[in-house]
Amino acid sequence: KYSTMLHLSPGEIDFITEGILQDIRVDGRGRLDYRPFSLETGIISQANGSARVVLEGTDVLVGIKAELEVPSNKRPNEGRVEVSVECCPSASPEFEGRGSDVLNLELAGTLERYLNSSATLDLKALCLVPNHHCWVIYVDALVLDSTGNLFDALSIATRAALINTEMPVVTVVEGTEANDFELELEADSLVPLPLKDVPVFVTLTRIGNTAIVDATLEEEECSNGRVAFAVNSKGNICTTQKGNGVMSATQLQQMMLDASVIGQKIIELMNKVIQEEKSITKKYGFLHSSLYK
Amino acid sequence: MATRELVSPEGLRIDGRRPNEVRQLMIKMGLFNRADGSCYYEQGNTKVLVAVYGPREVTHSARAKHDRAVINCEYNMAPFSTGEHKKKSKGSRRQAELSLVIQQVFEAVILTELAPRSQIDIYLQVLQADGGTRCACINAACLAIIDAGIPMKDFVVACAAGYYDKSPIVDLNFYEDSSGSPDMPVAILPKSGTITMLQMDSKLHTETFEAVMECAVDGCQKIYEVMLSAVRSRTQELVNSNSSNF
Repeated sequence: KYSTMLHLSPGEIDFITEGILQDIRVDGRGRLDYRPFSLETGIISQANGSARVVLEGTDVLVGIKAELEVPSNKRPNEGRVEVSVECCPSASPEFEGRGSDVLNLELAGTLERYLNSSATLDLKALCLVPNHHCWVIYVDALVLDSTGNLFDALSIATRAALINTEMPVVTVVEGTEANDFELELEADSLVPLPLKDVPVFVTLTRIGNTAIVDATLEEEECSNGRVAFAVNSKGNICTTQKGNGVMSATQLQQMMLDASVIGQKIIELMNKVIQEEKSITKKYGFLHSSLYK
Repeated sequence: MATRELVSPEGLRIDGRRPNEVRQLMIKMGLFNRADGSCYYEQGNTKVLVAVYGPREVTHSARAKHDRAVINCEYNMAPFSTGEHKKKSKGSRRQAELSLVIQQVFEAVILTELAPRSQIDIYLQVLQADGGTRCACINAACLAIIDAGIPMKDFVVACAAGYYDKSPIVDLNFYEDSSGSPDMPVAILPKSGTITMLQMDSKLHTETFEAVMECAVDGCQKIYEVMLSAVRSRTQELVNSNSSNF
């Protein structure tokens, strides 16, 4: 559970649970309906890539910076992705100071896992000189406001930001001595990241015996189980992260099938929006009047 | 660091401004759901976001004051806000210093006696830093506090100024700041003209000190005009949304 400040009365919990049994949620959605969300990329000009997702009241901003560093000892001919998530105090005062550390680590850890796999990103292509130079992609997410379903929003924003990222072309010039390399950056020619099939996470929350998608804070409070599936454009499951709760194998299987369908739809929508964005030159970022106020 | 030419012979700075011109301002208030007040503020390429909570119950009862509200301020920079990626920003000394400075500015302006034994939280988040971040944060915080409906004696407006080639320049960007020009951020209460914050790095002759300060105060007044019109249009927006005319 991501929020501890919400106190629901037994009456409210009953109302939410009974409604879901009849496929009607508090805001009128069905079990597997997603809230409409807005997506905008390229709003932080100083970052290599950026994206902002506003899912009703959940506001997430992801910035990506690519830096040249030394490859890790365990993988000397690969680049890597380092993820950090910061839940800002603007989302909830309980995130002040070190209050959000545990949540940040949990969210960042899962994101980092699936991003550092060769199915998502060609890590070998990020390595310029084995053992000496490689690209490190820093993915930094800021959670600015939250009304539930943080995880999915983060994965959508991360995927969009990665697609939006552009890096300078680097040529390796061999020096006279062994192990002497010079790297020349051409700031004018930019290339996208060597992405393969970046998935998005779809979290299924169990309330009673039914599973719903895109839970609000109130619904998360009533839940007794949670599983998140990373789904790619082909509908394949790339990573799973199971939260609390006990479920049978058949229930899990059904949840997986639901997640696969929804994940594919989200990716399709995202690709359409990102394609349309290419013809828009003016970025509004936070100056856009919000749709949901 | 060698000082490159900050003002060309024609009187233009590297981004095309005149020495007395402030960067373009863009303001948006009331962005967040859970925060009582919020503001997004852009000054050129510097972008900051401020959320305000309060007055609300004190988190640590030992800190509560019996006759006024406690102001709590936290300044954060996003890792992608600067040219080079910035790792773990929490707990840095600069962050602590700026949080304290901004807290002191608002302690003097907010009518804290109206809310004893309570707490007002100001959370500042820098999304992109291109010089003048502490001034941008103060301005954005002032607007966020107004958005939250917390009473203040006056607006607080901040602006920085520097000095190059015998004349003061207003609102330095990152390049100008790091090129060796002295940097003097000043915050004022515009109606009375009183100064609530004054800092300076580098060194200045006492004669030039006054000229630079005047330049900064002048910049503050210009920014004040923009902030005032932003508050007015936000209020109009709220009034319109409450009216029954569709």
